[in-house]
Amino acid sequence: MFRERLVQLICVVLAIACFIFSGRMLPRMNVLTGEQYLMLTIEKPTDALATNAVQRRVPISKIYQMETTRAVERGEALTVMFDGGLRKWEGHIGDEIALTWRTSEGEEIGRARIDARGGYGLRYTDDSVAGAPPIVAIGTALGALRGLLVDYLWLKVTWMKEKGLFYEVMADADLITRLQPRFPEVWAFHGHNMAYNISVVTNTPEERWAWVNAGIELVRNKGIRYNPNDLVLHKDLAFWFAHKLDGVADDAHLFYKREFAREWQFILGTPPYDIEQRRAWIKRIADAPVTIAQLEGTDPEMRPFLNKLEEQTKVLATRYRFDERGDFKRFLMLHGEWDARRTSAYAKLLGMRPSDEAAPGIAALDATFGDKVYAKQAAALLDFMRRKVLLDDYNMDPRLMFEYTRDTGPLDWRHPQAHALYWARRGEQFGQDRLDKGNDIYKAINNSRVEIQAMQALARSGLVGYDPFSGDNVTRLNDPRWIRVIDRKFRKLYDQYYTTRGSGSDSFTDFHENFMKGAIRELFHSGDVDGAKQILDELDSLYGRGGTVPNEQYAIDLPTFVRNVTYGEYEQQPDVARTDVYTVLERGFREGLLLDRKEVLDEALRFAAELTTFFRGARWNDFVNAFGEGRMKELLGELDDSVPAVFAKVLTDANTPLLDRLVIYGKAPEDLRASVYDRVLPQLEVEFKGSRLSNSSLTVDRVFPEPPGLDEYRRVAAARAAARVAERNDAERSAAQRK
Amino acid sequence: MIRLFKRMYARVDAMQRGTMFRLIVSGVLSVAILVAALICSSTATMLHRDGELLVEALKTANSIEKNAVTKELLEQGTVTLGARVYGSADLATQWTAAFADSGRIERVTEVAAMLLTTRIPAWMPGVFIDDPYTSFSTAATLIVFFNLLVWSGLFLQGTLTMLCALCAGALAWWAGERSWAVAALGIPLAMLAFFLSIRIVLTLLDRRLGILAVASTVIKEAMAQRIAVAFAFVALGAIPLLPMTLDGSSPLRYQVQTFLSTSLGVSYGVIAVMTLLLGCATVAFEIRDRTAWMTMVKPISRGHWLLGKCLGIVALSSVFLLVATLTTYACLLEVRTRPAQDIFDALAVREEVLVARIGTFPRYLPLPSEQLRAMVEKTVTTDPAIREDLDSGARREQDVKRELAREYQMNWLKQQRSLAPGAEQEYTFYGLSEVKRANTALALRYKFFSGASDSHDLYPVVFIFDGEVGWTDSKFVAAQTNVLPVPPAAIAADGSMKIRIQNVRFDPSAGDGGQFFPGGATIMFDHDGLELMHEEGGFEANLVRAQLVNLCKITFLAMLAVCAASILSFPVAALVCFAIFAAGSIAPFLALSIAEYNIRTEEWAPNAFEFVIRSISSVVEFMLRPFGQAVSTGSLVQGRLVSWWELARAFALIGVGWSVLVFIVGWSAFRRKELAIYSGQGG
Repeated sequence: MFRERLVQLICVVLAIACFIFSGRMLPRMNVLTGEQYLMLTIEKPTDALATNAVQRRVPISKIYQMETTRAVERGEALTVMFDGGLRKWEGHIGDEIALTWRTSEGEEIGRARIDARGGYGLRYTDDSVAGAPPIVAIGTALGALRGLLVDYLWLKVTWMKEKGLFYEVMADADLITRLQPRFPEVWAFHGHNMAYNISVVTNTPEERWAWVNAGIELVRNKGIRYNPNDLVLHKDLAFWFAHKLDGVADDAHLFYKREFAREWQFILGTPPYDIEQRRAWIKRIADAPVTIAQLEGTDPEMRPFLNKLEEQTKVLATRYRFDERGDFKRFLMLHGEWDARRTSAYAKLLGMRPSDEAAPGIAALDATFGDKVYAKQAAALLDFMRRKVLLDDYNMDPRLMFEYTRDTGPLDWRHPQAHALYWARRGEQFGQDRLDKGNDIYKAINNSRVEIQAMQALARSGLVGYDPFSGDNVTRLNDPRWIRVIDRKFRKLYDQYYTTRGSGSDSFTDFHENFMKGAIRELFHSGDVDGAKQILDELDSLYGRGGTVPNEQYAIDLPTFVRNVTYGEYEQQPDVARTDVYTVLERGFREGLLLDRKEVLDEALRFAAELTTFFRGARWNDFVNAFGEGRMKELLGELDDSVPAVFAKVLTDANTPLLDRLVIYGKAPEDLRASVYDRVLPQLEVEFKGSRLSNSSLTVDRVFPEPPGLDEYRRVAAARAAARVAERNDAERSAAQRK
Repeated sequence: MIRLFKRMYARVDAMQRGTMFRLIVSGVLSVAILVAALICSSTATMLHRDGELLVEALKTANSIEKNAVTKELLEQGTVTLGARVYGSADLATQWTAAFADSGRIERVTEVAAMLLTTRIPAWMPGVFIDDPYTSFSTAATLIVFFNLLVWSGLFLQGTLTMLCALCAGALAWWAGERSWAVAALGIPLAMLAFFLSIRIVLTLLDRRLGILAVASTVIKEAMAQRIAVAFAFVALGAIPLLPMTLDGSSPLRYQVQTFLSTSLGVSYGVIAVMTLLLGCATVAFEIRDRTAWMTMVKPISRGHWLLGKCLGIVALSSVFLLVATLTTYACLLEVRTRPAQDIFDALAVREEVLVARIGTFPRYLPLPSEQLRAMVEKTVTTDPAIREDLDSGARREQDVKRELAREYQMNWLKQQRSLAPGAEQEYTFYGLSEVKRANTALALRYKFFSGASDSHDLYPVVFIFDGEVGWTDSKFVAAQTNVLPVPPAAIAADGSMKIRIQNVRFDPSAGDGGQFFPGGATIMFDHDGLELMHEEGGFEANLVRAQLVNLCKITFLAMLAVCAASILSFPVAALVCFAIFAAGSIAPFLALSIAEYNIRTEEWAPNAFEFVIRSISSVVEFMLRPFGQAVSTGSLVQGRLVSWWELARAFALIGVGWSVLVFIVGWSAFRRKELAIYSGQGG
């Protein structure tokens, strides 16, 4: 009896062990039974941009010429039998080779770098080395029951979600993603549930951000890895970046923007402003070596630097130590914080010292990354780590990031819309071909909309500035460099969807026309007259004299157009005038004073003055309605006061970092400062006391000094106010007398 | 070595059957347990008293006045009472959220309970603090348990089992694997409790009565063939392992709910499967092997034989259910002590999950009959289409009036559940006097629809309560249930609560101190879209009632299996029983599916097919609807009350009514069945 039980137990244990073993062997078996190939980064010699490299999968059986041109010193050894197995090549992963191989169109010759070796077989993803996770093997073993189980779970989670019963939704949705990872809708459901439903029932911004981030990470790092060609999943992810992170509907949206900017600033550093420099910056990351061995192969001084880095970081907690086989993301975040501390205006202003906990890390990085002797190696290592972290932790391909930066505009990865653009574009690139062009084309159009709207948002707020040590919000300003990008994108979309049934391409024309009209005004007011004129001419050719119904609306000179567009709208909706004046003045103060672009401020002030004059002379100025209200007169009064009112609003807008606002105040003319000083002092005083600036030797009087001539201004203002009151009293007395 | 162990085992086993041994052991154990209970009780009483003092101290806290208590709480996360300090620095950041806009702490009891947890000794379960006398009731249970162990002759086996479990658990605890420690302790103890309970049931069934003898034989057979043991191991072994599968990063309330739902669901499922299989097997195989014929020659009727079989299976299932419930509860005590995400998460576990709540709906006023009559009359006299129909005799006036009245009444009620942008409506809940007296927290559950009800957007709404409570602005996710905590101070003296809901958006940065703007779209909700939940009872009693409802369902399944197997062969009987069980379990979903089932075509063949399928499905769903609707586990997990009425209904309808019906059908067929005919294989 006992023996029988023992035998049974042993058999059960053996069966379980075999099951686990076979599951783990599955990827390897696929490799061995499949056709072998090499993953190569091939350089295309004919491109104007010399390093337009592409990654290709080349079957070994098709190669008949293979020669090493540059060998790496260290790397994974590789032996390839090519030319029908008759010849042998020996080298390492990372070697550069010259090869000739057969294709369906003949033969190709090229120079390439060997990135990996793999085998064709039934793969779970596009990635040659990724295999199915064990749980999928279990799911496959269930056979037809898997479908039933997944159906049941899917129905259950949708029903429970509607009822607001989230407790099992997470667990069940997670189980579905494990049993059937190639079910894109469940990833979207699961991620949306975390980012939108679970997050809003939390009680602190930190918790909320954790859930939003978790939902995004789930789809980005897992859902898309398993479904790399699903357009709708890409679009959903892009939309979450655009709507949840960059939108304003969520109470904690400012927190999201801060945390997001902080994370990406630490990972990638501050990007250069100049577009060419920015392309070069991201390209360096894209071209970084794939492995440590390759990295060492590029520079003989790299190994000593790595050794020194390991030595110096030994004193740190395990999770922060530099380890060639370890978690680069944590180390990169540590480096990012160190780097930000060196460049932070707040840190310098406040003389911030690292905490006792952070001091060893700072010292270690000072001794390594801060050592000018190793500057080149440090930069190369950073690029390597960034590339690896982007691929492994964020599932983002630096090559694509470079391509999109090159082909669109100055993408700042600290801005959520840059990520929205990335994912929407990636979805189009890898997923659009799989759509049923007849019935599912609307999915492609929706995805394209997300992309072009991301560009629009970047035009409005793509210029990002962030100091992680300020504890303040992210600076986001207009970036007119995106205007042309949007124009090009529109044209591409128009051609792409021209034959789509319904109003495929026309659904973008209103967007394009309105955006460009606004862009003309913006460029004109900012002083780029040539750019504005060019766009005006293009509008004329598309929607004016060259339009489907020819008209003359764009056949006018630029100043008149701007004036007509501006003022014509005001005839219909005078209140828009106030909004426009405020918007232009806000921008004038922000960019004109903060970025020292005097022409922007001068133009804004001129615009406000002209508009006030326009309304003063308007024919309906004296109109008094049935309630005795002179609406236009009031509007005029508001416009008269518009400059100080808007300036006060800019200074008290908590969405802008406090330091920025103090800089704006400091650079403003004295009379303007005097006009708002009393108005804004109370709030700024409270904000200052609550900010980190107050921890230093700074005082309110120093950062927000009283302007000279303030007493005189106060006297004049008091007299003006008294006069206004008297005028109003007279008017009411007159009305009463009239009655 | 093994022989020595065997000899020692046999000797002690023989010793434990002696009366003197049993007396000494049970006496020593009882005294030890009593002493432990006294220690627990005194500690619990002291802590309970401190809890009351904490409540009094916290009532004086005011974040606006920033008195000493408040400062210590916010800066250090602690409250000092005499020489004792409650709380910890880790909690300091959380207490800010506990203060309302008025500066006071609204949930003083709950905050005091959280502060108190930092002084509770690690060895003491938190449930003893809530009620110090719980330690005595637990002691009583343990005394009974150990005495049963001793007097049933399982003391040695139980002791060895507990020793092994303690060793394994201690090893796991020492290694820092708390969940493994719980599992290592829980599984052997659960199995021990199972065996002990079986022994007790067998003792109870050991009477000179035919039915009881048959029932006893069923249990003995199930144990001998290890069927029951295997199922017990699966069901009872899974429960202590479940806490390990919980996602520690999710809110604690979700972890608790997931654990409850899964453990109760798994145990119910396994017990149901065992009931059906055992029920079919025990009858079908006895009939096949002519064992039943041998039994029928004895003075026991066929009806009694069937009843005895059913009783045996129900008794076995009851034991399972009892042990599974106790195991679930014991593991729940561990799960609920896990760290919560924040104070509100911890409060949600106490107030929304481990509680029995009932929901109250607002009273919607119908259209006054005079006004309704006038509207109907006016329409009948002025609508030309209706006049034409009436004049031509195509419709009767009373039918028309009835339809119109129903339509107007429905629209009137719908209007009360609709708020245009900027509009406000008042809703009154009644019958809350007891809640006000008990001063327990309430929760407003609402499910609103607005505009496109986009799941990506948050829609604004403002709730205004009477009295000091004031107003609160919220953002809700449309087409989904949202929850808003409501303080009991909002209840008026007469036990009613008025809530005004405004479809507006509050912008704190606009104007002077904030401004209200109309919402973007009309807000609408269903008749059950606004519900006020309040506590009606405790979790433990709710758990018992829920499991009793499950027992009623299992009783029916047992009778079904026994009676089906008395007519059909084992495979066919099992198939029929599982089909009925599955259909009954998914009856609510089946009802939804039938409502949506529609083949959109003009062709007759698919339409005929649809008719047949719909007819069969509708009949099955109608017949099995009560079984599917008796889902007590769901209510329990949502913190809703499983009422005595629901239990009585399940007992009467399913446990007794259906069981009797099935029994009558089965017995009618079985009493004519020829048992002497051989229907097996071989000689």
